[in-house]
Amino acid sequence: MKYSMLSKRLLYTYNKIHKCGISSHYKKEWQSVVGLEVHAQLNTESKLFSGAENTFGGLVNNCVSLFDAAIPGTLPVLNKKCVELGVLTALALSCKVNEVSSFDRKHYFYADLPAGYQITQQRAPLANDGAIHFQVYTPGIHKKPYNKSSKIKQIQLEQDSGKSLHDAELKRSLVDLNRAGAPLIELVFEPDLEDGEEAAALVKELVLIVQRLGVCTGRMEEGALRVDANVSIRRVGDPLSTRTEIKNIGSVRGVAGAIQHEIERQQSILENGGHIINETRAWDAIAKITIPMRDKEVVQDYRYMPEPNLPPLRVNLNTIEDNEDVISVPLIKERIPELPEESRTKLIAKYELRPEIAVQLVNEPVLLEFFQKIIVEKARNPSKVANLLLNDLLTVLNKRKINVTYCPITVKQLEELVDLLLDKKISLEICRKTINELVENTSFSPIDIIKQKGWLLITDEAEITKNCVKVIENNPKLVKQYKEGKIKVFKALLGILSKTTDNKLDMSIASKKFEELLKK
Amino acid sequence: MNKLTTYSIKEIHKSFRDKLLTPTSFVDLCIQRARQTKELNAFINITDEEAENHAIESEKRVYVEKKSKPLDGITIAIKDNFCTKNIHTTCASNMLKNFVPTYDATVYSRLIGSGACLVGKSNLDEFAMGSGTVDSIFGPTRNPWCYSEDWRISGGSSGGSAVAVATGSCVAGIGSDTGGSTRNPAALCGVVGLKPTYGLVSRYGLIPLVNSMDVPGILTRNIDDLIVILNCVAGPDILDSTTIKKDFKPIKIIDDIDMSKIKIGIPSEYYCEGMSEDVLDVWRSVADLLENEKCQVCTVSLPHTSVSIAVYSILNQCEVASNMARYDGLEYGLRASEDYSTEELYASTRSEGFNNVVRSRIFAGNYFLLSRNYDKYFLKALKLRRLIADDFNKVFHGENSVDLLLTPTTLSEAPLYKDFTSKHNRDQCAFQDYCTQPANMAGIPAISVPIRLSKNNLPLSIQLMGPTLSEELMLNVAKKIETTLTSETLKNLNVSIENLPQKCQNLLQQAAESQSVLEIDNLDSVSISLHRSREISEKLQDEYEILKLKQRNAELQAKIDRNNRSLQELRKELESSKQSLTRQNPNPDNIQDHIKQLKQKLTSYEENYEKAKSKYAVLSVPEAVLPKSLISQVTSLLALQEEATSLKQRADDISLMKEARETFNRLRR
Amino acid sequence: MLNKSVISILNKTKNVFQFRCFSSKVPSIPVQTLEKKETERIKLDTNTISLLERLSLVKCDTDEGVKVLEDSIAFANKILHINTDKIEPLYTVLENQNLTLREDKITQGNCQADILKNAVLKEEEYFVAPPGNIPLHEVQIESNKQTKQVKNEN
Repeated sequence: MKYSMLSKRLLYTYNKIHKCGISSHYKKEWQSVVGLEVHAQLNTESKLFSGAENTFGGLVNNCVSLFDAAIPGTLPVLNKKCVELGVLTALALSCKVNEVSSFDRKHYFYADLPAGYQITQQRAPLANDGAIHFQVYTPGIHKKPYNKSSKIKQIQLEQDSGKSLHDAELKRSLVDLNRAGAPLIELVFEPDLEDGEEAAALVKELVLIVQRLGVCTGRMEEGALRVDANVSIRRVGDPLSTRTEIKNIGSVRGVAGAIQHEIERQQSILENGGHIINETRAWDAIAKITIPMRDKEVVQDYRYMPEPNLPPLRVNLNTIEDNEDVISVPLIKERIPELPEESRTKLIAKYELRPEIAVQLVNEPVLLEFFQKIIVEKARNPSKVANLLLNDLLTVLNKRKINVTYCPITVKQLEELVDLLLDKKISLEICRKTINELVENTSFSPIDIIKQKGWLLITDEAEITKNCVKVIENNPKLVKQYKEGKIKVFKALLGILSKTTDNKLDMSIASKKFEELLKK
Repeated sequence: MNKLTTYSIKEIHKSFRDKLLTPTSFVDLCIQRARQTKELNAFINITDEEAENHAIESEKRVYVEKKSKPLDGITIAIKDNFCTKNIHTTCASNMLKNFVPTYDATVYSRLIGSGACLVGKSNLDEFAMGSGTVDSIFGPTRNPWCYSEDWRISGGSSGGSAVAVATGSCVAGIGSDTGGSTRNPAALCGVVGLKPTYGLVSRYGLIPLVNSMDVPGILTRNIDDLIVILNCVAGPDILDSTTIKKDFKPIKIIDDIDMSKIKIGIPSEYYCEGMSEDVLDVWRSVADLLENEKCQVCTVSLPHTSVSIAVYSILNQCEVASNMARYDGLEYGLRASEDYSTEELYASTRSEGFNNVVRSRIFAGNYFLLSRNYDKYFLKALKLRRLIADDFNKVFHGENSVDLLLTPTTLSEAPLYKDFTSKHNRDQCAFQDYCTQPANMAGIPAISVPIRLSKNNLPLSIQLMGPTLSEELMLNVAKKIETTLTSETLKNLNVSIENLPQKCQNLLQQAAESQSVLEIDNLDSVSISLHRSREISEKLQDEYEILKLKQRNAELQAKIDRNNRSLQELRKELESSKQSLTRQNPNPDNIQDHIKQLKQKLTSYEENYEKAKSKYAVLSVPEAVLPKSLISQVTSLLALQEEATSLKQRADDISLMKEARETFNRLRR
Repeated sequence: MLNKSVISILNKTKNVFQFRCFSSKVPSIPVQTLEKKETERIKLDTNTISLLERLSLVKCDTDEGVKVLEDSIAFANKILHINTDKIEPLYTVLENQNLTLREDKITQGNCQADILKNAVLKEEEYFVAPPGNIPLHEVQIESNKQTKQVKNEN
């Protein structure tokens, strides 16, 4: 316990220092401010206010009830599961669930909004005032992960709109209402983020959380989770300035890229003496730029009005008694599973993994599962296992563009490989090569492949000595330099040794032998 | 004239059982009446096919399966803003002129499920916005009490249903009530109009005007019918989240209701500027009536009554702006031909599809909902709404509480069309809805009950209001008022006779004369069939008498024969004894005795003979008499039958004339 | 028949004689309205009018339409002065009832034909709409085309 507290404190001070390092990425005078709004589709059978099927795909305009098509005279009836999932999310994000919440109409005209308004919760949402805590760490950009949190202003239930396909050639839109009325949960965050990477990390964390809660599939590529980013920049010390909104970013990296681009764009405008217009922009993932979405001078007024067809929604904050129309919040709290932050802390505490390793493992649920299975037996070194999974396995999969979820290699194969590596029977490079082979021929076992390709490390002392002697003989200059005192040359010599032996020597034995020989 | 306007559901069902009427014949009569009164323009669409199908179903249930439903064969009219599957539902607007819903409104399906028969969809102000049924693309609806040259409005916006009920085209009508739209036409047409508690009757399928105030309304000619209809439609509906979840207990009339336990409040604020003397007089007389029935009547105060109309106009316009946002022509409804941008298509569609009233309400509503105006107008209106609702709360539940409130329904009798249309729709609603609107604001039930006719022969009504879910008490008190008054209102309704051409008038006169001769009260097909059946039964009675007499005759004849035979035998005996006597040796001693004896015997025989003869005289029915009476009876019967056939011919002539008149009028128009 | 009519007349007059107590419970003078008698007329500026027109899409921005709107606003202004301090808005008369919750089951939908039945314009089971809300640079190209079209038509 004490150790974990100590490490936490250390981490905290480290983060503070580290953050300053990141901010100095931009000119000191400008400070960027980012606030996110995330829409997540709730994973329910039927829609928010109608009994039509809530599904991705499906025959055009067939998963549509009369209410979803805004046929006159139809009325909304709230789906209980949506409330439960909403409350679950709110509790997992330490929000205050409101005992009474209500629904409002948000009016605007659009082809995929048949009623001319969306039913949402603006005035009295389901929950308020929570926070999400996460680690910011992008390999290649950050040296080490740091803590970040973003406050949640409110969480609300609302309807999704239909889909319109733009037919530029025939100058029309084709409207499919299958998605109209699908349940969404909107999470509105305060503008307390600073850049695209922080935003991306938040989104990643959020995806993990909703997946673990079973609230949402988190598949951004399917549109199950969509991010809007509000970006503005200001001089340090100034109040918040005009912001632009980037709508419907559909991937985690897209979030980082879009925000990054927008910050730079705004900065260059301001530095050239211009000013920022409050507008809505879209992220063009191919061109990697943000482009404006709506007319410049348009002022929108949503004319929020309470939804008269829905009396107030009440939840039971106090007892675990579940009623037909009043769900028990404490009962739902009991359903919260282990969340990512807890998993990371556990990994660090139990296995003494480095924070960035923990972050990366938790970010890939499949790899985390592999890790936990492999680690269970035989006291295998956790860091090494983690490294194998993250650096070697993941690299191979990424190169071959295989999604981790569909990893063809089994746990058993990985266990075998790990043991071989840890027993020093093979080198790391060989390990990687073996993984590559396994991906192509999954029916083989690692040991078979290694034996077949003759990849076992040579541990025979005589053999090693022979090779060492050869290197010494072939590189007199370097040997002389070493003997004169340039110890760094040793590494070069080892390098030559491993190269000439095609990396087949057990280097730990070899280096010892080499040292011995050089002493002569 | 008007059996159709006086039969209640109970009486109709009785005549079904007595086979004086059948569901199909009754439905036919109602459809006929609907067509006859086309001039009043109560119906947008007369659904005779549906009506016939429903009637046939009812007939099957009543006569064949012997399992009848509470509304079997009862005709209804539905206001055309209730969705009816596969039947056009237009809201009297160009926007929905060709809209055919694919589902039924809950109210409609519950009625049909109880056996009702749909006569047609009735006229309304466009999208129920109005209080006169004058703003409809199908033209205005005329008041059946005054529908000629200088005609009067029927009230609105459920004018069509009210007129249909008043003229007998249907037994009950369904309307909607947002600010008085059911009670107002009920009052102006002289029928009963109920606005139930908000949430008692499902709104699923009712195309909304103001969602937080709309309720389906019921129009009938009497309280008993109203209760039957209400019991069929009230109760929670899972498709409408704004229905009250409590199970609905059917309402019944309490026979010996103790009126002395009931407190009636009269709110002083309901006498507003412009209320007519007639209306005030009716208000007073009903207050007196109730006091005479031992109710406690007192004055109460609802201080915020006068602001209700302005609050209503704000909330109404805001909700309208929101509810009408869905009409863009994409999924249903009118679609303009502009197609280069969504905005242009929507704007054209909505301008073509909506009339001025609808468009201006949308425009104003959006103004009040702008973020900068939201607190100032919309929120303010909602706060004032609470004050109005609290007024009612205090009066019903506070100190010195009352059970019901008694107020007028409208401020005057039915106005002339030309006077009514001289004012703008908003101002007109403001004026007409003064007394009815507050009940919608608070969601409480209210009923309009016709009391009597005015000097101009137009109906006058009063309104009762009660706390939430107090329909049972309210309807019982209304029933009490109704029975105490024996309101003659609808009986005096006289639709369409006077304007017939002269020839028809002559025929009618002749018919009237024979009518009085034959002692028939009313000249309509129902009475004629009644009369005919009476004749048939009389004829049968006569024939029965004749048969009885014949039988008697036969019996007597048999008796006579028997007596004759016995007489013959007696005579034979006498002869034989006489002969035996002459053959016998006369004994001088007992000859005298013997002669005496014989004489005695003879006298007794002669006595017997005399007796028998007299008996015979008494017994024998003069044959000449019997056949003659029979003949005269038969001839008189034949004469009656001839008269009956001639009358029937005359009746046919009259109906022909009526049809001729109709076509003449139609052509004239 | 004569008897019947006599009786009915008697009945009516009996009622009349019973009633006329001239109840004093019904008010004898009309009540003073709480509304403000005269309110200042608001003149709306063109920005507001065009905003409203864009939000309503009903072509009411004619002179007559604006006048009707101004009348409505004046009508509404009559009650703004009434004190509503510490009064909560009444959003629905069912505010003390809990919102009904429905079980998460598929009970509706699967009625493509019904959904499309009343649509005037369809394309292979899709609803058809004109283009709208597309990124600005595309719109600019569009509007150029449009102006060309309009010019041609002229």
